[in-house]
Amino acid sequence: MFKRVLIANRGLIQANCVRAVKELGATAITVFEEEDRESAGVRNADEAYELEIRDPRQRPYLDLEQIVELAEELKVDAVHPGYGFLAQNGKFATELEDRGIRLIAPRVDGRFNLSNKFRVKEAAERVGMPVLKGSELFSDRETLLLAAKSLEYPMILKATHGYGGIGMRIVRSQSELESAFDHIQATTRKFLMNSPEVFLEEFVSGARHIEFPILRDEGGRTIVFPELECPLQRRFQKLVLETPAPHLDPSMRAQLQSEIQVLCDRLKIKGFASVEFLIHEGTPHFLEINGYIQPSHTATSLLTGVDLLKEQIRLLSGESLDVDRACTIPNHHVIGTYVYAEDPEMNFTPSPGKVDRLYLPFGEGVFMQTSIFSGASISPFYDPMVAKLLVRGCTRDEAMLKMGIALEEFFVEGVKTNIPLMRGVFKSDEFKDGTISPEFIADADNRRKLVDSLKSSKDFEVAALVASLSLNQDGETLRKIEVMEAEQASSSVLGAATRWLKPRKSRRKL
Amino acid sequence: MNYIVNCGKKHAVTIDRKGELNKPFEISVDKSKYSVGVRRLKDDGSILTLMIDHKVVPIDVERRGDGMPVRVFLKGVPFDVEISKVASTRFRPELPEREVSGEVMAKLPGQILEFMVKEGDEVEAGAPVCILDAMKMENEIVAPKKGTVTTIAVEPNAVLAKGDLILVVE
Repeated sequence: MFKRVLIANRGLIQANCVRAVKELGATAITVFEEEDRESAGVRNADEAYELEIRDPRQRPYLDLEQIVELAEELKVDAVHPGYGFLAQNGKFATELEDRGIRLIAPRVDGRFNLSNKFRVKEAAERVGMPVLKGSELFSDRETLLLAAKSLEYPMILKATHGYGGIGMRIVRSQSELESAFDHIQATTRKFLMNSPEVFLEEFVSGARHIEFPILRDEGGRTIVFPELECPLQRRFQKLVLETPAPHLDPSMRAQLQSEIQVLCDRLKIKGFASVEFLIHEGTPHFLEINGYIQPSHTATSLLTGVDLLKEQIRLLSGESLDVDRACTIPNHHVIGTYVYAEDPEMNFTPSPGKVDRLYLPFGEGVFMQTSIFSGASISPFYDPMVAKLLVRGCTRDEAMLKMGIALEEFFVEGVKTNIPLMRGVFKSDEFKDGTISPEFIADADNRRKLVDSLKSSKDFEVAALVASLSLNQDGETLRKIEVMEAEQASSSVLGAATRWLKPRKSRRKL
Repeated sequence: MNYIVNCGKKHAVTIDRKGELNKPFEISVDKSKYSVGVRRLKDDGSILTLMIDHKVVPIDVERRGDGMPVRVFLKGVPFDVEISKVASTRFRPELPEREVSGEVMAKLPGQILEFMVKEGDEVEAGAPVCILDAMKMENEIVAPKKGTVTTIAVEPNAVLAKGDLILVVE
């Protein structure tokens, strides 16, 4: 096992890695930028080092040179990149390996990296997995228009090294295709520092998205865990997850698990990876392999009792897999939801700010992971995910019930969150039937309906009561109303709006 | 005190608050009566936790600049409210429709990736006008109201601070 591990990330994944490394008996070291000083990962680490902001245009967690220098100086033997940031940066891996430091990321034996979506898709096709129709790899505009001719709109343009929604766009026309191409080329330079190559793929609407997490050791021992499904996303980021998937036939699960085993053997994957499929009209299509631990994998850990993060670190340190094979067959149901500091009513605009008040749900079968606390500031610079809420039930129905009640108990004030929206989702017939689609909540009317479904007639009365009472409490406002009434009475013009009543931009009084 | 509050439909609210401040008091809304205890108050007088008929209700009130409540959040669920009549005056203030500013500002520091509109374009309320790259996300910025884009204040790729003007819809 490693002795000293540097965790080069922030937020929940940082805190989780710190815990895993400590449990494995190694020293957990992390980096942070000033405003994250109080976060759980930084607090709980054995050693924490502040990163300098050398380039104000770039967040320091992306500062490859600085993190590599620090890793070398601190004599760590491994670096855990978490997800996002430098997790899929080929240069980061090389720079570290040159200094004898292991990057905790999947290793494949071959010419390409797992993060190359196109090459992995080719490999899957070679072992006989069905894949989506698509183009070859290219990086110039002439080929773009030629490649688009062999497919129909809408289609998806993908950067081969994209991740987490970056470098991926659905396009519906040639003009959208061209602007997406320009955009992806620009993004590639900014985030995906490695490759400008893209490819086109058919877009299947209404498809379901599932993924199988796997662990594989050097000796080739492999565990393919039950699938996770993310029935709801917003802009390619997950909102809800379930494991196992609500409608996957056990025989199809077993078949996919054995095919994945073949693919992983072929690619000689070592460590942790996650193999993704789209299920369209009952047929699975291989999508990609992700090589990094994602927030959703906590659900697998909860379902199976296997700590994926710890196993990943252990396997990459050269130890061998020691997991009971029984966990490949699901015997519980886990549902999770991600809580974002953003306003679903305002088209999911991030809502950074200070958390005034926070009530967290807890209890039997309810698992909460959060990086926020009362008084915490939500940074405007990063992904606004603030919490993961997971529940485990014996059946899907029990898990849904637990989730609905846990979300009612979850209250955040000071920043807007998607909690009310998610309560509406779990209450909806679409979710219960398992027919909810990733596009469903992209529609503002659907979102409004979901939130409105939570309002009973008594709630409207209580809202009226609260509004009146808040006025009653506020002496100043009350005085204004009296002035207004006096003015109105004296002007005796029915309905004349007085000056002070001219509405200004609404704002929250903090 | 009597109020008429419009939140979808109109409700008549009567608050009868006499005697000790810490004791629960009665509020009637239309024909329903509620016993209300105020559990905690913020310094500025906005309510934090209520006890309504023996049920704890944490609430949050969003106000206009002049202090009038415009939205009430019950467990984060928003209710639009409009107080249209207070006390026993025979005059009812007719609140004008809420006017929405056409100025689109950067709510977050970030970089403009692209504009979907140009000066002179007609836009519907809620139509996407540009993409702001912030918090690792591409944020679609939408028109606050229907109108014409009269000014685009920044170039594509401009790096903006919070509050910088992006464009104006009139």
